[in-house]
Amino acid sequence: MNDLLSTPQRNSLTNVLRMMEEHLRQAQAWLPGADETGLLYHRSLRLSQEQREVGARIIAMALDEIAQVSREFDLKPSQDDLAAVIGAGMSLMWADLVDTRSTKLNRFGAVDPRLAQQLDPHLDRLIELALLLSSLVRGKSIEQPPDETPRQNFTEVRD
Amino acid sequence: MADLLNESQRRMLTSTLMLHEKDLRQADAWLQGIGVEGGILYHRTLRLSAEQRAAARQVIAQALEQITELARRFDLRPKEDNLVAAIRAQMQLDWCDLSEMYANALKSCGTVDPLLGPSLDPGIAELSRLAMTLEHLLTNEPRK
Repeated sequence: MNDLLSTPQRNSLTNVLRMMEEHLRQAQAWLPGADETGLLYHRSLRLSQEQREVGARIIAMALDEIAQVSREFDLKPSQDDLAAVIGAGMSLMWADLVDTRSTKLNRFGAVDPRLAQQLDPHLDRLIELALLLSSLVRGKSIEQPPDETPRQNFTEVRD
Repeated sequence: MADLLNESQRRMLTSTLMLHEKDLRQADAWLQGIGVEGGILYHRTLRLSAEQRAAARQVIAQALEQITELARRFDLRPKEDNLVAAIRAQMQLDWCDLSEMYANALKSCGTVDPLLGPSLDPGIAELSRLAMTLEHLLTNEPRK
């Protein structure tokens, strides 16, 4: 079956099945679990035991089908470097955090003059830590231990 | 300090910090080796030394402390994350994507071999059926 697909067709099929596999495995991980409470989110999965069991069986069948199609068409797995994923995520988050500093919040209305003092130092520390984590997982050397990293100047991105 | 933010500013701050928290907790799980295992169509690797992992986890802990302080200071409330709705949405999206993978639809990516349909379409149809079966299962309220 390997030669029935052109390269673009093979890439499309691999990507779609890969995304579905990731979704199925995420659901598979969530199904048996209890609720999870973070600081700013509460994850809940309100399903009966029967629904969880039937859901798990459907997911197993779907994963078997993906395995079979992959075998028949010799679809190759991608190689995901999680360090790069974490690093990229932290870089994106850096931009979002910068956009949440008090001066940027004026897009959503007048900013209380007291806000900067209460908000910005914590956001700046989060920004530093995001960059530090990005560097760490990408294997860049860190001269200071994390809790002694000097504060960086973000003036150029503030305005 | 809660009164220093208007409703839109509060929503913006809460959403940004919530997404950051989720990213941090996902990274922390991977650094502990949770969820790193490979699948059929993807292999995941995290090549970091024990020292790098420990240092990264320390940074994550410090970041979570900052988020804790901001949530306390501005009285930011946790948002409800409905995982049933998330799974259902993913299955609907997968069903849509699968509909573009039938041999006939793959014409958009070049000439289709006439032998492709009989060999590929039954698998795609079965995956589409299973995606909708799972979505439908989760549509119903929990049964006692």
